[in-house]
Amino acid sequence: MTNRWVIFSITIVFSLGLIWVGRQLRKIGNRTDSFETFLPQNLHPAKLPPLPPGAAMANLEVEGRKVVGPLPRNAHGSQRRIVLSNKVSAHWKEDLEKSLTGLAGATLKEIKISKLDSFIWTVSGQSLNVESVLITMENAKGEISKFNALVDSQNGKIIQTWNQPVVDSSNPRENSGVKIDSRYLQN
Amino acid sequence: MIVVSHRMIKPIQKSASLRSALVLAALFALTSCNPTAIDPKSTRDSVVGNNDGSITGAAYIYPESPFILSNDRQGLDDIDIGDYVDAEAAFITANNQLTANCSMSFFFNGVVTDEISNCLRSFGLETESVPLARQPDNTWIYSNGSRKFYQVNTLFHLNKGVNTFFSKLEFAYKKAQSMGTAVPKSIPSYLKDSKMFWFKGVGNLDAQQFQNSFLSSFAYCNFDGNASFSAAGPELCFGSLAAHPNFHFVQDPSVMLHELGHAMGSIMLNLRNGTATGTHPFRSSFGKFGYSEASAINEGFADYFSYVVNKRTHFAEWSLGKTVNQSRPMSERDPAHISAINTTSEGRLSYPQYLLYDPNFPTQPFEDEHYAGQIISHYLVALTENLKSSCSLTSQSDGGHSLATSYVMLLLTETFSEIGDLYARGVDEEYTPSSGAIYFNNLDPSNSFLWSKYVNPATFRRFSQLMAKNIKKYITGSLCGSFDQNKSEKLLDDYGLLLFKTYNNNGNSTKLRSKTYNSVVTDIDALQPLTLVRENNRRKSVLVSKTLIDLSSKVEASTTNPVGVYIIDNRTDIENLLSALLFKGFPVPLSSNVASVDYNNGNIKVSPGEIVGVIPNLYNSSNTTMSGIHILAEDWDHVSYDTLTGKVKPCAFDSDITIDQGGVSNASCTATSTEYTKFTKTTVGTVAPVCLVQLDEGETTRWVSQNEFRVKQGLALQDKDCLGYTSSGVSDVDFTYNPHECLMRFLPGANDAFFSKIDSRETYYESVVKDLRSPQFNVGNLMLMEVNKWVPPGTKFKCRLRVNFSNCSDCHADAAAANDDYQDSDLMGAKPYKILNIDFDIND
Repeated sequence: MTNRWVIFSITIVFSLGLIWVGRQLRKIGNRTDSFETFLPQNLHPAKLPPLPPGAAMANLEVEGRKVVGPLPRNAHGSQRRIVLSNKVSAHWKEDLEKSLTGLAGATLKEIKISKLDSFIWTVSGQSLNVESVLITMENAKGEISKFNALVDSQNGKIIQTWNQPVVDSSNPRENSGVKIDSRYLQN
Repeated sequence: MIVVSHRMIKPIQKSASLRSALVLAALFALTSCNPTAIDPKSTRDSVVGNNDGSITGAAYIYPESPFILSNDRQGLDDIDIGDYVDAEAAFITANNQLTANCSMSFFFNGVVTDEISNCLRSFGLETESVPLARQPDNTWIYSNGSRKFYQVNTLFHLNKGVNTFFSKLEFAYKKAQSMGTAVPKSIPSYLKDSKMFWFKGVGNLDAQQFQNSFLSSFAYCNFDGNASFSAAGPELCFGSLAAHPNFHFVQDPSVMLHELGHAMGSIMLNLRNGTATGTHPFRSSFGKFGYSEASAINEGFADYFSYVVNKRTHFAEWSLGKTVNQSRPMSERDPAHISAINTTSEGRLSYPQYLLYDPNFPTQPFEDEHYAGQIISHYLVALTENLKSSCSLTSQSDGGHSLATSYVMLLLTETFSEIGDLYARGVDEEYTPSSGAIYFNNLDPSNSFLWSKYVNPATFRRFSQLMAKNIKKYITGSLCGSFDQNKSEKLLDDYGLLLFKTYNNNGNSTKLRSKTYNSVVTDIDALQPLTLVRENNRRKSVLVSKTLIDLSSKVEASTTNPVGVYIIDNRTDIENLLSALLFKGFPVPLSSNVASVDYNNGNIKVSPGEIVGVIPNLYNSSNTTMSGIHILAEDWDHVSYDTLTGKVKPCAFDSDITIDQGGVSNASCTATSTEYTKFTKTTVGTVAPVCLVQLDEGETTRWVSQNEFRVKQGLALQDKDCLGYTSSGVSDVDFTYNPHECLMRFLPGANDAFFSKIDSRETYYESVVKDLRSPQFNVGNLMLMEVNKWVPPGTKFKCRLRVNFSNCSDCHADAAAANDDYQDSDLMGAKPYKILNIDFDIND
C-alpha cells in the first residue's frame, strides 16, 4: 500500500513538473539572446495549428453562387436567412463598360473587362450578387493600366476597387495637380 | 593555346585611342589562341559557343547603373551598356524559359520548403506573353543593349531582390513562430498552406485575386518617364524617356529594386488575407491617387528595400538623378543633403519639418509622397545602423548588414501584415468565429477594407506606433535587449515620429475593450500591459489638440486667406479629374441621370446637377505645425433613428446644430455604434451620409435628413430620381442606394482628403500651395461631390465632415481609457475627430 502511494505521489509530481516545463517553454520567447544562438530547434508545435476558416465561412451556396462574407444575423445574434438584395443581369458587363467609357472620355483607347469570379457578397446587412473583375485600360498614348473591381451583378455599378497600380514618375513635380480658379487667387 | 575560361576583354580607360589600341592588342592575342573567349562588344554571332557548358544558364550582366560604374562620367545619349557588363558571366536561370523559381523555407517540424516554379517572368514588350526561350547554346547571352539583353539583366536583378526578400521573410517567420503561442503575432503560422507569401491564391480561387500567379516584368514598357508596379497583374513596368532614346529605366538596378519593393510590400501587407481554403475578396494596398501618408510609407519602404539588397543609401542616381535631377538619398550623411541635415538628433530628416523637402531643390518645397517618404527611408536606414551597433553586429563580415536588415524586415513584416489584415482577426491560434465574432484589426472582415484604406489608413503615426510595439516585442524583448525602449523612442523622436502616447499593445478588440486576445486564444496571457511612452523621450514630436484646427472661414485670425472651401466646377477640369481617377484605378460611380458635368457652369459655386471638386481650406490656430491631416466625408454615426416615425435626426454635437434646430441628444447620440451598417432603401443603418439639409417650416427651420426633405419639401422625387440610384434592365428597383443622400453626396472613392501639413497660424493654402511656382492643389487634397439637378436653388446643406491628423494629442488616445488608443468602432463616431461643418448654399 505504501509503495502504491509512493508511486502515485512520484507520478503526480512528475506530471506537474512536465506541465511546468511546458509552460516555461512556451514563454521562452522572452529570452534576449541573439537569434542565432537562440534558435529553438525543439520548440515547435507538435502539429500544424488549426487554420482559421476562409472568407467563405459557411461553405454556403445560394442559387448556385458561393456566399462570401459573414452570414447575416439578427439582433439576437442568430443566423438569418440570406435574402438577396439584387438579381443577376445579363447586361451587367455592358452597363459597366458604358459607365467607364463615359468617365474616361476621349482619352480612352480601349477598355477590357475580364470576369474573374461571381459570388454573393454579404456586407452591411445586405447580400448582393457580385462579379469580381479585372479592368484593363489603354489610353491614347498606348499606356496600360489595370485594377480589380467588385461589381453589382444587377446594374454594373462598381462597389469597390483594389489592386491599383503604383506609378513612379521620374519627376513628381510634373504630376498634374488640381488647378485653382483665378478668382480665388485675386482675393 | 587553349583558352579554358570565358572572359570578356574590357578596356581599362575610356579614351578612344587607348581603347582601340587595347582592342587591337586583345584581338591579336586572341588570334594566337583557340578563340573561345567572348568579346562583349561583338554581336551574338561572334560568340563561338558554350562548348564546355560552363556558362549554361548564364549571361553577362551590369551589376550597377552606368552612373555608379562610370563614377558619373557617362552621358545619357552615348551610352554603350556593354562598357559596364561584368567580365564573368553570371548565372541567370536554369529554366528553359526566361523565368525564375521562388522558394520559401518554413521552420516547422524541421524545415519544409515550398517551391513555386516560374514565379518570376521577364518580358520585353507588354504585348509579349510567352517567356523568352534559352539560346541554342543554353546561355542567355544576347547582343549588348538589345531588348533581350535587358530582359535578361532585369531577371537577374529582380531574382536577386526576390531571393533577398524570401531570406528576410524566412527569418521573420521563424522568429515570429519561435516566440511561442503565448505571444500574439501577425505573421500567420499557416503561411505555408495559404501561400500568401507570393502572388498566389489557392486552388481555384487563384483567378479571384490575380490575373496571374507569377510576377511579370516588362523591360520595354510603353510608359514615358515612368516605372510602375501593378498589383492586378501582378507586373512591373519599366519605361523609357522619349528625350533620350538610348535610356531605359532598367539600366538602373536600384529602380528595379524600388519597384520590386512595392511588390514585396504588397505581399507583406496581405500575408493574413488568405487561408488554405480561401482568400479575402479584396487585397490591401497603400494609399490612393494623390498624396497621402500611406503612399509616402510605401515609397519610403521601396527606397529602403533597394538598400536592403544593394547596401547603398542612395537611389536612382542614373534613372532619376542623371535625367531629371530627382535621385533620392536615404541617409543624412549623403552629400546631396543641405548642411542643416546630419546624424545628430537635431539634424535628422524629421517629421513634419521635412515632409516637402526635395534635396535636389531644397528651396522649392513640394507636396509629394516620394519626398515625404524620405523620412521613412531615413528612419529605417538609421534604425538598421543603430541595430548594427547596439546589437554588436558590426564585427560580422558584411558589417552586420544582412542580419540588421533581417531584424528591420521582421519588424516591417509584422507591421505591414497587421495594417493590411482584412480578415480582421489579428491572432490565429485556435481562433474560430464561434468565439463570438471578436476581431482585433480593422474593425471586422466586412468593413476591414474600408477601415484599412479610408477610415484608419496607414499614417506615419500608425506606422511608427506599430514599429515601436514590434521593436519592443522582437528586438528589445528577444533579439537584442540592448536596443531598449529608450533607444527606440529616442530614435523615433529624432525623426519626429514619437506621435503616440502608448504602444496600443494591450490586445483589446476592435469593438469591446473587455475582449482581449485571451478571450479567443487562451494561450495568450490575459494580462497584456499597456506600454506607455516615456514622455522625457519626447522632444521633437509635439502633439497638438484637435480643437485648434477648423475651416479658415470660421477662424477670425485667418484674414489673409479666409477661403473656407475651394470649389472646382470647371467642366473640363472635372472631366480630366474623373478620367485620371479612372485610369489610376479609382473610378468614381456617378449617378446616372440626375447629375452630370453637363451642368457644370464654372462659377465656383455649387449649382444643381453639378459634379464639383471640394477642397476644404483648414487653419491651424496652434503654435506648432500640424501634419498628416485627414478629412473624411464617409458615412458616420452622427444621427439618431426614430423607430416610431422612421425619421433620421441629426445628433446635436456642437453649436452648429442645436436642439432647437432639429438636433437630438439621446442615448444613441452619446454612444457610438459598434456595427457599421449603411442605410439603404430597406436597411436601417447605424451610419448616415454627412450632408443634412435645412427644412424651412415657416416659423422654424430644422436640419433634417435628405430623405425627409424630399418628402416634406414637396419635391416629389421618386427613388429613381435620387443620386446613387442605378436602374437596370432586369429590375428598376435598386435596393442598394441610400435615400439619405438623394440630393447631395460625396462620391464613393473620392470622399476623403489628405494634406501634408499646415504650419502654425496659417491655412493649408498658405503653408503648401501659395508659394509654388504654379499654385495648384494635390489630387489627394480633393473630394468630389454630386448635386441632384432637382435641388431647388437656395437650398441650404450642412455637411458634417470629420478631421484628424497624425500629431494630434486627442484624436487617437482615449483619455477615458488611460490614453489607450480609441477602438476601431470609436472611429465611426465623433470622439476621435474634430467635426467640420461645411455649409453649401445651392446656387441658381
